[in-house]
Amino acid sequence: MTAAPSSPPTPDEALAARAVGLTKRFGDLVAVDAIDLVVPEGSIVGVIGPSGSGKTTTVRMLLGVVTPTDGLVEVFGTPPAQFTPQQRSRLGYMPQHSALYPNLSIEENLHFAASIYGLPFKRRERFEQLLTFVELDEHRDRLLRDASGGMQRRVALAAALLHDPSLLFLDEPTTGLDPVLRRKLWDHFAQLRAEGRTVVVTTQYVGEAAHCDRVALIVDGALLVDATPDLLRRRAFGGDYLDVTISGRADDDVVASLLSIDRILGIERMDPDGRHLRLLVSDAQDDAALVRSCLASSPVEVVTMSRHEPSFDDAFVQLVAQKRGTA
Amino acid sequence: MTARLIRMSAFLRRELLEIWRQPRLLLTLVVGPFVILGVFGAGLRDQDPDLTYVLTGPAEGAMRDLADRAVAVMPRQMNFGGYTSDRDAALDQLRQGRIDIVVSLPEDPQRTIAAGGRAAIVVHHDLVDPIESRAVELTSQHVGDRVNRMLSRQLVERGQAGVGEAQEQLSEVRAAIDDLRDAGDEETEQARQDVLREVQALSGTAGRTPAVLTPGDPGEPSLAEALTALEDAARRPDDTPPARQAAQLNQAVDDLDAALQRLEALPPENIVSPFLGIARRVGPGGVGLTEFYAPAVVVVLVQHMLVSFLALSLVREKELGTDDLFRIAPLTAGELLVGKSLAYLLLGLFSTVVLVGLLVVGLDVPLRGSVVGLALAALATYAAAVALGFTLALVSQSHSQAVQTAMLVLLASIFFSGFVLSLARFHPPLDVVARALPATYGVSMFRDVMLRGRAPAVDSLVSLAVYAAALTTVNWWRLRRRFAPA
Repeated sequence: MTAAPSSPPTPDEALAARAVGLTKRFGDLVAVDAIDLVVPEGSIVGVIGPSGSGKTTTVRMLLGVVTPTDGLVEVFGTPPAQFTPQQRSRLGYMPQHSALYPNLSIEENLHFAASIYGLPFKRRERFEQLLTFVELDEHRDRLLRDASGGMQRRVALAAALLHDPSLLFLDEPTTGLDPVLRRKLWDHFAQLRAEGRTVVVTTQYVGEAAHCDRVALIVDGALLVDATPDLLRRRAFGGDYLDVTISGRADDDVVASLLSIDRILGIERMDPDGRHLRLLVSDAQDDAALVRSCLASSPVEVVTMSRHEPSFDDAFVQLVAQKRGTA
Repeated sequence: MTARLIRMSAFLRRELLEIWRQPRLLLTLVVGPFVILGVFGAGLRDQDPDLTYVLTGPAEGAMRDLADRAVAVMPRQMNFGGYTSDRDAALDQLRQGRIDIVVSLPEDPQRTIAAGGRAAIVVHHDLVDPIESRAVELTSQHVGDRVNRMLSRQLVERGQAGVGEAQEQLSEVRAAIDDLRDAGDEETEQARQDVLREVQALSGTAGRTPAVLTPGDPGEPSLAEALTALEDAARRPDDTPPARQAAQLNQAVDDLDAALQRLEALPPENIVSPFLGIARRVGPGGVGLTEFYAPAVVVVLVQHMLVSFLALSLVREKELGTDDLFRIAPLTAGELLVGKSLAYLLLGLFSTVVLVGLLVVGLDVPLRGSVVGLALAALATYAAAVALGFTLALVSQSHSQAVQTAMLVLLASIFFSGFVLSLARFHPPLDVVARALPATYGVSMFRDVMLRGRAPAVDSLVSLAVYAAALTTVNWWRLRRRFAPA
């Protein structure tokens, strides 16, 4: 396994967790293949990949539920096997599936979750805060089995937050939810980050990478990219896109003059009359001036210029294709 | 310490809440056995089931006459279905299920007995239930005994008829004694000879009566003793004065007369069967079938409930995914084990209170011992059952496996705990199976407390405590390993 392209955290970033060469094999199956991962404190890290790609196994190794076959894991600077009870109390985990009791009410489930962390019985104020936070304060007496899927996810989130953890692992919290609810949950995660917590979220919705500070893209157990969302997109397409509308037709001379600039990596005509071009540049922000300057010396003028951001889905497809050699 | 208690209480509260949220399950668990025992008690008949029998034997002769009289001495629950000399036809009827029993009388018993053998009365049946078969075997012995007693009684009655003849001969003896008393010197020897002759004649007659079977009353000689005394008095030496000998003879005759009168008054049945076997249980009150089974039902049922629930509980945590939460939380294996165990221990005790209460109030099942004794027995039994349930939970990988293993424990408890069959019926190596079941100790202690009014046996309490402690230690060790990263 070659090292996956990644952008290292800045030197002054403290890490809540890190993994080096993290590997898990189940017999002949390599579920997680030598992943390097960093989780800076106070950030949202998205672990993104298709179903069965190894996201959950990676999180379970970080939590100490699964022992790695190889590699190093540290959370709060300690290998999970050596977690102290105090360190465990700083961890929050929302599993992929409900992991709560259907015959208990929402509030009773929260009581249980609070008790296994040894929280004192005076919990009313904390419950009020959290139930309001997850917008379930009017449903506290409802049995979990009678709650909708979205409600159950929010109860699980509240249960994971009860003991005020500083590092929160959320395993596919948005799976199966409608877009409105998914958006709401991401707003919640952003709020948690704003409170100074570190959140690690796994998801198979590639578009959710936009909400993250860092994204680890895992496919077939291997890490394709561990970077900021922008960098991920750049890695996928080899650069940034600039959409340019010009005053006349972009003839071959215009195109050749643009391509003569090293930082312009490709040009695509977007309409039959040749007035709309999509330029692949090394860096959209830095290279816009170069494009303007080049076209200024040509017979055509720049009418509009804007950055085009391909969807993360497209970026994901592109990266997977690159990995599998089908791009 | 407080956090530890709070973590334990999480499981205690949650397990009880989950069960409380299933009222139908609770109702089935607690009221179900009570209803079953109630129906069992109400439906069970006090007497053995009625059986229809056919007598077979010779078409005529002494055995045919005997058959008529044998019908009268058959047990009450046996209904006479007729007499036939065609034994094969009767056996066909039996095979077709139209009758229950064929009693086959011997064709020529006199010849068999004369040859030194015993004539057999064979009872044929087609029962496969070993308990019912055993009952028929006892019935066949009973029929043989009844017929033998009937014949013996006839003999006794004939013997008693000889008492009248002996009493008539007493008058002859008394007259001879009078002659002896009044005889002059020359007639004395002849009078003595007359008395001796009459006494010997009387001895012969009295000897044919069933004298040997009639003991004397306290302070009074038996018939045999009186007869011997009379014979002794009649053989006095020649130098005994006649008047003195006559007085001794009269005393002996009076005793013999009294003994003969007592013999005549005795019912023939008592002479034939002078001894009566009576079984008496030491201890208070009677114990019917419902009363006998009720304590065992409580123990076996509550044990099954605890073992099943606990066996399923860890599998359920795995299925729900909650065991991952437990591994991540600052929770120890011991806290989980104690929390869950306490929850089910309380459930077991609560169920026992309700069940025993219903049995005592609703079905009149006695609670002769102390409530404290019963509580101790329950606590020890359920602590061991909870430990066993936890063991099954730790070895079960799936829901169905947990259910199956719990059912195996139930089946073993029904057969080996003394619930149905006494433990004394098993060969010693199988004691191991019985001792591995908490119900074995529980059934015994519950019966002791509820039916005998005794305290629970200390050795059972100690055995259960050791059992629970040992299994809990192993469970704790295994649970710790399970909590470790996979």
